[in-house]
Parts: sequence; C-alpha cells; structure tokens
Amino acid sequence: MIALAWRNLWRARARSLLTAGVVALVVALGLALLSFTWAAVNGYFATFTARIGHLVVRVENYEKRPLVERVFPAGTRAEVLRVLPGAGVEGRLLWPALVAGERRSEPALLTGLEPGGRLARSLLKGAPLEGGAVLGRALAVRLQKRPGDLVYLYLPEALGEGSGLLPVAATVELLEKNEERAFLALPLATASRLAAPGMVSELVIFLPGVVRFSQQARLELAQRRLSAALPGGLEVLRWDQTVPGLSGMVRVFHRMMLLFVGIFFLLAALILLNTVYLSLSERVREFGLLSALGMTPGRVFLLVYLETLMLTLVGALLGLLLGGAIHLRLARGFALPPEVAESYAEFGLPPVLYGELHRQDVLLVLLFALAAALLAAFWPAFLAARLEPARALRYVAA
Amino acid sequence: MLVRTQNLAKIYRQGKVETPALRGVDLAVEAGEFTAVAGPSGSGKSTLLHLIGGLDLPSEGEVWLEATRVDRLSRAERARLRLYKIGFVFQAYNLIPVLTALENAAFVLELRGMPPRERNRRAHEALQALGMAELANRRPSELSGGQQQRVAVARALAARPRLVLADEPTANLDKKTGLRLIETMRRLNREAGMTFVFATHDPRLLEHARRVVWLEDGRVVGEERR
Ligand SMILES: Nc1ncnc2c1ncn2[C@@H]1O[C@H](COP(=O)(O)OP(=O)(O)O)[C@@H](O)[C@H]1O
Ligand SMILES: [Mg+2]
Repeated sequence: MIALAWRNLWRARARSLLTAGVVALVVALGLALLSFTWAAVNGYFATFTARIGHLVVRVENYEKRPLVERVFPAGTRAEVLRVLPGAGVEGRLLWPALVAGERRSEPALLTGLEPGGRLARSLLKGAPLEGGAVLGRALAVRLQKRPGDLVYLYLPEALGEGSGLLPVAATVELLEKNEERAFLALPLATASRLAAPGMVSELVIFLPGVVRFSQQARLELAQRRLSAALPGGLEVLRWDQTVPGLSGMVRVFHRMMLLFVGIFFLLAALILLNTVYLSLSERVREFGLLSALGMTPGRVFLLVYLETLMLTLVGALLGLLLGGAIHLRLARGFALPPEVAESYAEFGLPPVLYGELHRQDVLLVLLFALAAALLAAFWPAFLAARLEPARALRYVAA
Repeated sequence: MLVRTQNLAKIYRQGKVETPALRGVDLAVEAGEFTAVAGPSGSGKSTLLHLIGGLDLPSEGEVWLEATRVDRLSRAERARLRLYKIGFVFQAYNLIPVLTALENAAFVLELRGMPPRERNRRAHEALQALGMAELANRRPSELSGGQQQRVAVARALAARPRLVLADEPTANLDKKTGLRLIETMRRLNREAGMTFVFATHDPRLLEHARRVVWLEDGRVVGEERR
C-alpha cells in the first residue's frame, strides 16, 4: 500500500514536484520568517535591556514610599557582585528637581548616571556627562539654555546639599518626548551629593552572555538567587517586570508571525487539494478496479491520505533543508537595507540582527504542514472512498 | 449452490430517464461451472455480473453467494466479500499501472495481508501457470493486451476465489489470443477447480463454455448445457 501510494505520486511527476515545491517553499518561508522574527525580537531585547538592565534592585513598593525612603546604600553593589560575579552593576539615582532658567523654572526628573557606564551610553547617545548636566532637548528649549550655560537646580526633601548651580554639558533627544521634556542627567557622584549622599535609587544589573529574549530562565534564576541574598526591604525585578507591557508585546508579535505562517499554509493546502483532486479525477476507473478487487472504502480513504501525506512530507523535508539554510545564514548575522534600518534604528533596532529558531517553531511549522495535508486530503479521500465501483468502472474520462 | 439470483431487476436512473437493464433474472451457478452469459451488446450482461459481485445494488430481487445475501451487505462488507471470495477480470484496464505484473498478480493477496514472501511465491506460480513468468517484472504498459489479460487471470488464480467473474475478457484481443485466453481459463476450471462465469457476445467463445445462459433485453431467454 505504501509502495502503491508512493508510485502513484510520481505518475504526474511534474505536478507532484510542483506541489511538493510549493509545500517546500511555504515551509522554508515560514522558518525564515520565524528566524527573522526572533532576530528582530532579540534586537529589541538587546536595546531595551541596555537601557533598563536585565535586573533591577530597588526598594520594595518603590512607588508608594516618600522620597527619602526610595533610596538605599550604594554599597549594596558589593553584595550583588558576590552573588552574581561577572555581572555589570550600575547605580542610578532618581530625584525630582526644579530647574530654573532665565525666565521660568521647569520640573524635571534628575537622573544620576555613572559616566562611561552602559546606561549613560544608551541613554545619552554619546553626549559627555563629565562636563555637567545633560538636558533633554525639549527641556533645554523651554529653559532657553544651551551647552555652556548654567542652570540652577533645587531638589525638594533632599538628604544632601539640596541645590546647586551647574553647567549644561549637552542636550539630548529621547524617543519619548514626554520624557525629554523632563530629562536632566548628572554624573552619579554629583547627583548623590545633591540629593542623597552614598545612596542610589536603583542598582541596574547586566548579566554577561544574556543577549536573547529566550534566555528568560537565566534571568529568573539570577533573580531568585539575588532576592534570597539581599537584605530585607529590597526587591529584585526583571526587565519584563519593570516594563510589563514589553514582553507581552513580543509574544503578540510572535503569534502574529505564526498566524501569517498559518495563512501561507492555508494557501498551500488549497494547492495540495487541487493536486490531489486532479490526480483522483484521472483515476476514477482505477479506483473502481481497486474496489472490485476488494479494497474497502476505508482503505481507499487511507490510500489517498497516504499519497497526500507523502507528497507533503517530501515537500516539508525539502523546505526544512532550504529553510534551515536560510536560517543558518540569518543566524550568522545580517543587516537590514540601510533605508529600512535607519527608520527602525529610531525604535531601538540594532544595525546587525541574528536569526534564531526555536524547536517549537520548527515543530509548529511541520505541524502546520501536516494540518494542511490532513485538511487537503479529506474531501478527495472521502469522494474516492464513496465512489460506486460499478459506476467508476464504466467511467469514461470527460 | 454457489450463486443464486432471484427475480433480479436493475433499473438505471439518470434524472427522469429510466433504463431497465435487468428484468427479473433467476440464475443459479454451482461450484465448478464454466458458464457463459451470452447476449447482444446492451442486453444486461455487465449489469448481471456487477450485481453478483456486489459492485452495484439491484433495484429488486436477491443475490446470494453461498449463504450470504450480497445485496444486503454494506459497501465495505461487499468489498471484503470480493476480497476473499470473488475474482474479477474485465475487458480492459484490469491492472494497476504502477505495479509490475508480479505485484499485480499478488495484489489481492497483499490486500488480504499475506506476507510478501508467500504472496510473491503464489503470484509467481500463477504467472507461471499462464506462461507469463518471464514478464513478471514488466509494468502493464510494457505488456500486450493479451498478456495483460493473462496477468489479470493470474491474479484471480493466485487469490483462489470461490468465483471468478469475467466481463468480456477477450473483447479487446484478436481472435487467436482471445481463444487462447478462454482455453487457459477452461484449463484452470478443469485442473484447479475454479468456477468461472464470463460474459461474451462472441459466438466462437461459446463453444468452450459448458453452459450458456442467453440474455436479451434484461431477461434470460434460453439456456444450453454441454
Ligand atoms: N450507469 C448506467 N446508467 C444508465 N444506463 C446504463 C448504465 N449502465 C448500463 N446502462 C444501460 O443498461 C443496459 C445494460 O447494459 P450492460 O449491462 O452494460 O449490457 P451489456 O454488458 O450486455 O452490454 C444498456 O441499455 C445500458 O445502456
Ligand atoms: Mg458489458
């Protein structure tokens, strides 16, 4: 029966090859698309976590506490490094401030960053922090301040000096315009002298080797170990907990891509259906013969299914090879065309992306192919099984 | 009694057009017979064989194969009945094009689930009995019409059914080849005890039949025994 199905497939060789080719193409396309999807997701992941860290240590119930209780000793860093040796740890101090210009003052959020650190690099895009304050461009415009001018800062409820006069080192544009209107960065040392000496609001942690969205398990492990080791009153949050919408968005994005792939397969199923149906209609008399020789309707049904499944399998294997090759190429790193890359860079897509495929994705694509075959074969198989043998034997091809 | 039909009638309906193909046929066939169903084209020979073999259902009447009421069986049960008890030889297109002569001869046995070694042995013996052993590995398209019909008979021989129904098995063959095929079938009837019922409208073939049932316009109009 298997040999029979296999040989039947190759009777209309060109048609079978063409159909297998379509299945192969859809499988390959699906795999490539998913590899690309993960590449983009990882790109965003890298950019976002460069800005907010993989893990963050802060005071429990941060939002609900008065200002003076939102900070903790910067020395906690040593504890973090003991639990997670090799991790990058940077302090960040956040304090509300009033910034005075020539004619008006504006509220701002003072952000103390370590000069030369990753946070400073990703947030300030190369603006020098050493020379004084870096202002959001929108804030600078409102205050009518330019680099070299002086600004006066007042920090309410401060534990440190509480106020100071500082030179503007640079201005910076941010993705979020709301944020840009209230952005003011200082070197961490300066910020803590003004606001809270020896204290930070956050310790931002970068784990070495974590570059993919799918390495979440490592983050969770580090989070658990660190939580257990830190003194009470502090909590450890993962990036997806500090910005809760983000990982959900990634999941939605991935599902949408799967949906696309599924739609491709629906089209492939139509082509399969056409092929199976055609090959059936050319063999009506033969199905009559099979029935006359004693093949039961159930077996006829199975024969048609076997043929379709084999055809799909051949296509899927070819597609797996082709898609695998495309994926391996993408996995070595690829750049988007410059025009495209430029418009996406604004949203944080790095210039080089790395393709990635998960076992579940590959299985799912193969499952889609199987589903397409099962779907496409059903109707023709049903028709073939229901053929009246006497009628089929008298059938003359139209 | 191997086969018995009682008041067998078949009316084909195509939309509003009704074609009566059989009008009350009573026929009995004993095991070991070599019987011809004769009659002009359109007299209902094919219809009769189809109904006996359960390929179609009668409009009226009964078909019995031994103790089984064939026309009461489901489609699948009729297929199974054919698989184990009835062999068919048609006028043409008897073979599965993608299978070799040997595989075709072994096909029914394969459907029965016989292991390859045994079914190939039996199929080979059957091909040998029909003088086709050398052509065992050819595909149907590489065989002449007569050779193809021989493979179809070999398939029946290998399967050893209770009854072989042959619908104008020689109609597509030249005179000499047709006669040889009928002689071979007769030999299998004598030597292997196979029961044949074959339809024909060729008077020359009737000389070999031991019993001839004449059909005309869907009715039995005469019978001869020799
Ligand atoms: N499927 C069918 N639909 C309508 N009429 C049919 C069909 N099959 C056979 N007939 C008619 O039934 C009659 C008997 O046909 P058949 O049994 O094939 O005769 P024979 O085999 O003796 O030539 C003929 O008149 C034929 O046209
Ligand atoms: Mg006929």
